[in-house]
Amino acid sequence: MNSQNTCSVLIVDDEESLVNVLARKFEDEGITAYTALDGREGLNLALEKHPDIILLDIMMPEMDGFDVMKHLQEDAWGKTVPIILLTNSSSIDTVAKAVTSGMSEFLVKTDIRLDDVVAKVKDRIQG
Amino acid sequence: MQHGKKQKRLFSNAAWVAIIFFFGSTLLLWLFSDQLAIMFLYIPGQNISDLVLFGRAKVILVAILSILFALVSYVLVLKYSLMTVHRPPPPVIPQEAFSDLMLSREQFRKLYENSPVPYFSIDSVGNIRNPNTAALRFLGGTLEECISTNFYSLLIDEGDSSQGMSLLKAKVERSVPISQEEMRITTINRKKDRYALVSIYSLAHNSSVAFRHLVTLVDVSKERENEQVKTDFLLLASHQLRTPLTTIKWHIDYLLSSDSIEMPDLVREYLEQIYIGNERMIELITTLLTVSRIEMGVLAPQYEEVEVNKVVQDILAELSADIKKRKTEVVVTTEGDDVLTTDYTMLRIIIHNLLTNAIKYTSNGGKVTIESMFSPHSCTIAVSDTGYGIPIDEQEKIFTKMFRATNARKVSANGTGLGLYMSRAFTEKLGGSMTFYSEEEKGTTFTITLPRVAPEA
Repeated sequence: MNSQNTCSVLIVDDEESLVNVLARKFEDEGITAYTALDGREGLNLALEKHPDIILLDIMMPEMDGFDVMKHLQEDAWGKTVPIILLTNSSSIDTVAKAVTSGMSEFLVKTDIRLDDVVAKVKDRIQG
Repeated sequence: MQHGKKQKRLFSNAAWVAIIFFFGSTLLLWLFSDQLAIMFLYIPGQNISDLVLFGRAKVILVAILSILFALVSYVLVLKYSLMTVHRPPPPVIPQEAFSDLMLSREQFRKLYENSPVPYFSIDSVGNIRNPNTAALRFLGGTLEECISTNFYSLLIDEGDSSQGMSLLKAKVERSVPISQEEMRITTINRKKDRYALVSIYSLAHNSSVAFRHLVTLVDVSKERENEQVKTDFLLLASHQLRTPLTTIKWHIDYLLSSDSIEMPDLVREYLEQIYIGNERMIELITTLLTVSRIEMGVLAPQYEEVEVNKVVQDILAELSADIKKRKTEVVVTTEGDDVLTTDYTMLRIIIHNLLTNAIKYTSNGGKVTIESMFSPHSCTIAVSDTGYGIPIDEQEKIFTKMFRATNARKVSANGTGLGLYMSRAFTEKLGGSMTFYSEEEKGTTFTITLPRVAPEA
């Protein structure tokens, strides 16, 4: 939990319209949503705000999702924060890379509804 | 004629040798018979005068021995002479054959030197000799640089390095042939890495030639690059095509699911239609990208332990609304331990496609059966329905890409004709097979057989 004692999520994705609608959905559910449109901005925001969970896209400019993961591993807090990978690349290679890099959840954006994303996030924060 | 004379002379020569031998041995035996008798026949304590030969006995004995010696010398001399006569003369290479030999040598040299395939030799520790022009080009060095380089030092191991390298060295040392093994090779100046199919064939193990391992390289760097381009394209296409569809999906989803937004029923209904259409588009793109992956050969199974019944139950839960709507009776039977090592995603797609088809192409109130049988080495999954069946004259095309049976088109206009094509391709990729039996208006059974363990690479 963050300092205001409400749940918070960081959404890192280069697709602005997706970030906005997802953030609005989280706000509706009473979850504070921080947003970043590239990997570097996402990493900085994560280290500054310490959200309860991070939703991370893979293919992004500046720094991709795997690089963000790598940098977070170098931080004491970053090592423990739960991360859900949100991507549109459902290739088996990407899934394998996500699994081997320690990513516990892997969601394909086209396969999942907004309610399911919120449910997954709540599950991870409360679990 | 001349040969006959030669033979006669040999016989007479042998006879003369025998005669000389006879008289010589007679003389010697006569003079030294007593000494020889003492030397060979004396037993300690015996009286020596008993061994001295006299008169007729001496004559007979000397004569017998001399004749024997003469005969032996006759036979030996004759045999040796005949062998010498019949020995074939040393071969003389005719001028024409010699020219042919030199021509072949020249041709081989030209081919070796100018072949587009890199060739060179290595010794048992990997030092390079005799690189041809293509090899110099491939290794990126001059002749002097090449022959002062160790071939093994140019190989880059991409996996568990030390083991692969020592295995290769051991094989070469023992003259075990290496045939078309893909390896990453760096150039002598270490500026560029290339991929090549490496073959190494050795001369006989006990050959005294030091550089007796012949190396050929087939440059496959371009193929590797093309493969990477294909993979990158698919990754990009997958991402770029899905992103706008996700935008549509999530925005409509937000509008439809948000309690705070009020909208007229007609707007809600149309939004739902847009959502359904968008979902179909997503499914189609996913299928097309998967088919492209199959055709480009960039789809590699990721093996893990999979419980088949769990997969079946998950899919049935997903399809439950449709099953209920159609009042389809679904029967699941299993025999044996249902765990197998296979690719979860591919297996799920295969069973999902077969079940979706069985439900879709069976009239309301019909029956769909899923039977799984597990033997120690294989697993058989049969999906049967009591549906419309496949017309007999269309059955041979059923696994063809984009093909849909005429009666299937009448039942449902929607369908890509890619499901069975993809399912069979996946089954084969997993080392299995897919067959079917169908009778029109009676039903269809699709049977897949998969190995229980991952096939050897």
